[in-house]
Amino acid sequence: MGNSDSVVRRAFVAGAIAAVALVAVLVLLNLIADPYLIFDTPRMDGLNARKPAVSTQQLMMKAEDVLRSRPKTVLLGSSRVDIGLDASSAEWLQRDKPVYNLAMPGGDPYTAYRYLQHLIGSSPPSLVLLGLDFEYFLKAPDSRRRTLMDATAEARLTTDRENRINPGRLCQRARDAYRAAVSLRAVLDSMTTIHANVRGKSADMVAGHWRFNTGEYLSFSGNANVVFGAMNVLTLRTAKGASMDQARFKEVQYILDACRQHRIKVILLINPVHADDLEVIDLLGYWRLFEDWKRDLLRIAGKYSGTGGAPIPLWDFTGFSAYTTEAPDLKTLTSGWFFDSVHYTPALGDVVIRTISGNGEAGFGVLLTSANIEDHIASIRSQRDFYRRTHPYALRRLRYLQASIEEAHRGVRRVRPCFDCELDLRSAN
Amino acid sequence: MSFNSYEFVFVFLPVSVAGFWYLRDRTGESAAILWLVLASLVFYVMADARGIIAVLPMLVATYALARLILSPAPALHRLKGAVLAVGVVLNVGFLCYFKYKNFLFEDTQDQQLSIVLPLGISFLTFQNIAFLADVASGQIRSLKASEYVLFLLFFPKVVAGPIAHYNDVIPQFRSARGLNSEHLIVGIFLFSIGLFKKTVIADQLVPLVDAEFNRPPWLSERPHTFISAWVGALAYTFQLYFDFSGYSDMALGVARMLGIKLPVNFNSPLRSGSIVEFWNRWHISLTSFLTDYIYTPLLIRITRFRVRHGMSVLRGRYSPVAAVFSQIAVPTMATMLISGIWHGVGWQFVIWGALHGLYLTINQVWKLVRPKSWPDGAGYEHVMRPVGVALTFGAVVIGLVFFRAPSVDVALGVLAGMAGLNGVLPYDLQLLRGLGFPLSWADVQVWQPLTPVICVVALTFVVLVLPNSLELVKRYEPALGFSSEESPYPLLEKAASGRLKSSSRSNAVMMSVSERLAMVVRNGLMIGRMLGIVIALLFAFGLAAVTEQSGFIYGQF
Repeated sequence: MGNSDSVVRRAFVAGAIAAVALVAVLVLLNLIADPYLIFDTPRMDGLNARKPAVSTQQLMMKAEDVLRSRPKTVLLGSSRVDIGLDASSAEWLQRDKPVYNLAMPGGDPYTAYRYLQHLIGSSPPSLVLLGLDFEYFLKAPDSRRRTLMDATAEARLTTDRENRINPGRLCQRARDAYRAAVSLRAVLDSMTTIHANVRGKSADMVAGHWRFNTGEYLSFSGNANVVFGAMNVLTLRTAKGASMDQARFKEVQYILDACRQHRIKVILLINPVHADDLEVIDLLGYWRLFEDWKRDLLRIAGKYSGTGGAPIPLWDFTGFSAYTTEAPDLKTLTSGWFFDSVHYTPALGDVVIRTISGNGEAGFGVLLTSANIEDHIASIRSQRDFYRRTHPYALRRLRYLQASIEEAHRGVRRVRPCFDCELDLRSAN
Repeated sequence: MSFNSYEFVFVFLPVSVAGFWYLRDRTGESAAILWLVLASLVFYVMADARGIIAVLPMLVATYALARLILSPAPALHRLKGAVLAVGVVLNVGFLCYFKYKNFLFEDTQDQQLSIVLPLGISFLTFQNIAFLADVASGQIRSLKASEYVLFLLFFPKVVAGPIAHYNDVIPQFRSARGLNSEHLIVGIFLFSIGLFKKTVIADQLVPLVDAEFNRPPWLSERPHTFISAWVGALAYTFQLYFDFSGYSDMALGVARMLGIKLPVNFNSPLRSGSIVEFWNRWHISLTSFLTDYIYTPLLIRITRFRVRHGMSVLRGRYSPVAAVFSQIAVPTMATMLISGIWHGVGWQFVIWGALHGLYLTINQVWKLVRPKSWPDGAGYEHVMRPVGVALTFGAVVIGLVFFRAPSVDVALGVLAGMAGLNGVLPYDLQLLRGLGFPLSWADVQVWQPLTPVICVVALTFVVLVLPNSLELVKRYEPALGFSSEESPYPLLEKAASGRLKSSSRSNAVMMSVSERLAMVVRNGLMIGRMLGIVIALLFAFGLAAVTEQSGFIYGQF
């Protein structure tokens, strides 16, 4: 059994050298690729300029990146803002630039509030644009609060919930830096980053804007209706049996409080959604709730407008316009207005930016006031009726999806194809 | 603090190992043992500070009872059976209190009274019972308090075993002589490969498992479908496999760095040709424990009862049904049901235990009837061994579906999916296809990605064919009794205790491919530069994959 000491020493030396060399190579790879924008390594085309990890690591990436950007305007909201509003768009007014998109995929109002506090703790912006989505104000039947903010996410922000300086941030930044430099996840993401840059196409993040990789997203389907259908199924499932979550309105008020305290101008924006999503909201029985939600938002905006601060505009981009009734089509998905039934494209985002900057077209986007809100709500109802008369197949498809989900809930485990939908398709062809 | 944490790897482990060898060299065995007692206490407190308060009274009581049994006083000597019984009842009661009280309080929603399970409570209890039995049977004649505490709380094995016998471990502490570089490098190899298995394989499978077994409420209605159900079930099988295999390797490795060889606890169980063999390869020390302290005593009592009352007993292939039922089915089912309930509270664990009881019963009955239909032993092995491996693998996976599922309903749903009752492709894809639009191959890939399928297929190859860590360093006796002697699994035969006579021969047939591979790798893994480089790779990747603190699955039992 005995081994001479020299053999053992050789094993230890070889092992130690191999371990150090391997770790050094991995760290170097991660530093060069900088997949999470932690090290602020210069971004070079063809090597590390694109950041595909934006799809999964935005909480960490934006926490660091936004402080470096020191924006005048910051965009808050969910993935709809994250994907739809291009922070580097030419449509932004010169006085509002630089713009940073601090919205997160799945970002609820509480997450938006915490990230705003984080930025204010370092360099307060002069304008906040908050995108609002009806679905995020619904509370699931299990009453569980859904927020992106967990202990790790909280720990990396400059301030805590009570707006005090967060002493644990240094530790969390060190942990983030360690993970970004050494972890296996980072190694895999670095390899993905370099591969994506060599190929020259992937998702990317510029000024916080998630440049959604439409090519990859859409290449999976031969039919845009499948893409829309998938999103409709998701909404039908997640929003089922919910009630209005009053706490969300409070979180919006926290944001407005923080802005008032730091004299930051605010614009509230109800994001545009495709007609499909409005029909899903109606199918789930939330139409009145949806209308009340707008009224409540206007009341809150009015409350803050009347207390000495600048008036808070509330823009509503929902409705059945030429933009939102666009037929799902692969060709227009990349160049048109919607990626799927809830995510609008930066092209439509530019229309939104023009409208709120005062250069928009009539008929898309309404600045809500107590004088026009009821007319606006009634107008959307009549638009909806007209849409249903002209697009009967759209509702049939949604009804089929809803009925199938309900059947599965009752224990029917095999899907029955939609006979009516097939007839629609045949007659269309 | 867990084996797969930075503080353990970079601080606790080097300090405790260096301190032990330093004291061993400079001051002798007593100070070194005290150092390890101290290290084990620190490890326990750092992992579970509240747990030590709960565990200490059990230690004190068990030690006191052991001293009573060892007492030379004749009166006490006569009472040693009763003292042993008290010790067993105390320990089992203690375990039941912690394991099942939570369940009762959960029912009453009384969170204030909720009790946290102390670290390694189950293994400490089993260890104590085995220890008291060894004392009562005269195998342990002298006892020191420090050695007893070390035996019980020895940090390499306190979380999840292996369950060792006092006389297998303690004499090694006394006989260790000076810093042995072979111990150190074999220990580091085992620790590194264990870390790799845990962090690079087991932990990475969690999302695949959760996708099938831990669905959010809004996805609960979505039926489990064929491919995803199989991926989920296999992913959990491999998660548990590599989690426990990784832990066992790390435990052996840490102990070996201290010059201690622990018993083998995990030995490529999914290569087994029968369910009996599976249990002699999976959690070997627990199987031995259950066999020694539940199965065998029960079988002896049943046999005695039947003989005393003139009832029929087992007679090989001519055994009457009543004897088969009472001497095979009853003790086997009872043992496995207890094992099931020990693993967790809930009907799914009872079903898991009952299933394995049934598997084992069928396996043993088959052993009785098999010679009638197939007298040629060698031919039988060649043809039936692969069939046995496939059947055993399938049976284990089905059992683990119950073991992992949060409820019986979910388990039945996953099994229905595995049986193909809900279609092959994911439900959402079927739903979208129902709209009438054509779906492309790329659509299928989005809802049913190929990577997880490739992953579980590759891992199936790894567990069935590749040599295990012990085989790779067999020449250095990585575990107690696991060396390059004639029979590769001496403990296996010991555990089987006559129930598994064909194990060595069948191993020889099945092991041929992996043994050959093992020999090739082993030749490259002699202590030298190559072993150092392999360790470095395993260690660096294992450590890089440590991101979140994730405990060992068996540590929760």
